[in-house]
Amino acid sequence: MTFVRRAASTVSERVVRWASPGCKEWAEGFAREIEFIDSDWRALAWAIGGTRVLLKRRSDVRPKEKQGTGFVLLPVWALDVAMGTLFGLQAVFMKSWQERVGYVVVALGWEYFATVSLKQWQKERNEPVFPDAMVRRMHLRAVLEQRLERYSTWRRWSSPVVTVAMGCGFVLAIKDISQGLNLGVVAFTAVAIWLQCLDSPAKIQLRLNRMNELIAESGR
Amino acid sequence: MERKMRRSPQTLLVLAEFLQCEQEWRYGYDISRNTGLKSGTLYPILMRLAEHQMLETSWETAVEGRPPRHMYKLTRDGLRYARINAVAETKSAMGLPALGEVGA
Repeated sequence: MTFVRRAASTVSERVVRWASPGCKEWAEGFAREIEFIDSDWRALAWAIGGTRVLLKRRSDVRPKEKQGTGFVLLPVWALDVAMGTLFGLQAVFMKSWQERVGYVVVALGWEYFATVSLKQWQKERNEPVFPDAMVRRMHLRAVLEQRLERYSTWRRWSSPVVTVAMGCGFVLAIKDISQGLNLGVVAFTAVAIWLQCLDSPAKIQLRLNRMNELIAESGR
Repeated sequence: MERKMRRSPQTLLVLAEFLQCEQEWRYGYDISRNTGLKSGTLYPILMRLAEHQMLETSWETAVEGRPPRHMYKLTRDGLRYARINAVAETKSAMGLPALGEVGA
């Protein structure tokens, strides 16, 4: 078994272990699929995706389960804000300038991702429901066009740049960083950037063309 | 109060995929491969469908040397809902970036 495949199995096992009783069966079903995925890297991507299922599920079910107790699980943007604040406070208590700068950069990075998550969260909450298929397709086309447009502006690079900056911030912040941890930070940054670059203008254009075909077909 | 089922483009993709072979049990990875949806997007949709009694689940009978797999099939209500809402042609027309919108 390769290292990547082993990592995929480990992650999926954790997902099963951490799944709440209501999601256990789903988590097990999801984890079993790993064995049927040929590519090791795809298996790892599948396993990592499962962690998102758990987070999403927990935020979906917890408020209902704990109704009346006043407990509400925070959305991702709030967690990002909290992380940013935590790192920001850490910067205040640091003695050396190097560490302070590192923590400030990491804190600003978290705040940036908090803003992105907050916008996404608001967008999902206000997502309109279209009863007519044609109108829905037109709306989806507008969304795709908007997404494609972003690739031609500097905003296309904002998330990867912030991720790299956060990686550098971590290296600066942890003063006596060991070689292993350094490599860990680099690997983590690389994976985060790779995930951000999965979508490309060519792929979006392809979907846009398909959507235009569908709209043309419906108009006939 | 009963929660309303969200008709996101991704949910419609999944429903359209189930409509391809209505009576057959489907595996999670196969649905993901055919729709292009990542596991993190697909499973919440499947779970939501099951919550609304639109999807039934079952475990495959174990075969020696092969772990049993979780299988999914639309219920009668699910099929009705899918036929009304899922536009099969929207398949592969949409997709979402892995970490949200670029510089949203």
